[in-house]
Amino acid sequence: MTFVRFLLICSAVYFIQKDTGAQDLRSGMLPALNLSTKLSGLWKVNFKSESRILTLNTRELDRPEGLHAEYALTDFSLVISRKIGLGGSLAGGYLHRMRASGASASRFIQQYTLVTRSSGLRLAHRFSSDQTFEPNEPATIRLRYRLATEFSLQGQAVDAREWYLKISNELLSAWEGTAHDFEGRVVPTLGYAITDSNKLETAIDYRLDGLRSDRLRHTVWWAVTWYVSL
Amino acid sequence: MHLSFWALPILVPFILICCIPEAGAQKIEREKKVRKEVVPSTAIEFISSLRVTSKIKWYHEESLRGISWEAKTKVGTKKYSIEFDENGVLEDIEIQIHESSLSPEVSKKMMNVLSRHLGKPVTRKIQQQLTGKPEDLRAAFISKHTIPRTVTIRYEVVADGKVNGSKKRYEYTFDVYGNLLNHEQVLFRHTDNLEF
Repeated sequence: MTFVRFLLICSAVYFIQKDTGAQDLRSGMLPALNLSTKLSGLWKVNFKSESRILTLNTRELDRPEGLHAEYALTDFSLVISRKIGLGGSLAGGYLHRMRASGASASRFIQQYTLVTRSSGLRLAHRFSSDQTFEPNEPATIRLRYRLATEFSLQGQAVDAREWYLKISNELLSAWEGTAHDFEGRVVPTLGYAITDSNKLETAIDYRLDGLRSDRLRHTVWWAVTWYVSL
Repeated sequence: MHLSFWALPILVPFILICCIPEAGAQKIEREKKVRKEVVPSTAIEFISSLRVTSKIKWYHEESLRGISWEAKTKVGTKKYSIEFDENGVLEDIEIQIHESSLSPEVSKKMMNVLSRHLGKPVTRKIQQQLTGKPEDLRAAFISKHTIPRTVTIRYEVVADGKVNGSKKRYEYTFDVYGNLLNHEQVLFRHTDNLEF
């Protein structure tokens, strides 16, 4: 837990130090479906569908004022992973983004995840990189690190028909053409395990980007994700 | 964009959720933290007689063996788990111990078994399990060093290692002499919501 505290404090100090003169706010909903199934003892395939519905975006001045709901995009991703050791997995996959405007983007994903377990607590380190390609836009390359922890609200482990808390903190470094930016994410999540293989989660997904530009952007998503392991 | 299109990703999971079978069908073991007030009085009385000053946490457990109550506490550096049946009758006391507290002969016998099965085993946890009459188990708990002869001692060892080319975790039960009684694979819960 000391390491978790260290990361959270570092993120907070960095964000506070940033000049917060010009800022934008974006908010919306992120409904998602996450399906996983085993291909063999070591191999697994994951399919995820996640949509974005914007309710506020102060960066786009021609948008109607106040809260409203506007469908923005849907991501479909397919990731294949292989177990490495007891808690590790190496994965690679492809994400297809379909925007409401009709435009689309392609993203290639590589990640390594390490899940450690101690009594009552699970800790997951995720190291990942991705490359996004979109017509008429420079390619975007990102390096990401996410630390997530999950603990039961009722017992020592998350069992069926129990509530749990999950908190994650992710730091991203992104290059788009010659521009470079950092992004931080903090996601407190409340989850309910319907069974061990069916979990429903709702979260406040807070993101802060534009840390190396002259305009900070705060994004707050209300996320609802259903995880199914077949 | 038309409302029905973007509403689909929200509605589909909730429609599907209604089709999930009863959660209990897949249940193997379920542990829940409970308040002391709901625990059978016989279990409370036994714990009180141990004169433990440290905090006691109570759990209600449902498993294939039935319903049980469990008191967990830490005395000094040792972790204790005291298990009772549904009616509060004492079943056993488990004490987390270090490998160094085993006799060299017993330790060697256990490690030989683990090495044969797991190659290069990594021991994660060793527990001493005491079963017997409540008054004998009380005496064993209070004295800490002397265990009455009537008490049955077993050891539970959790270890990781490679079996058939892939890393796995197993739980082994040994008798007091280090002879293997049984072993079973520890199955981990799904971690998809932490990985993706």
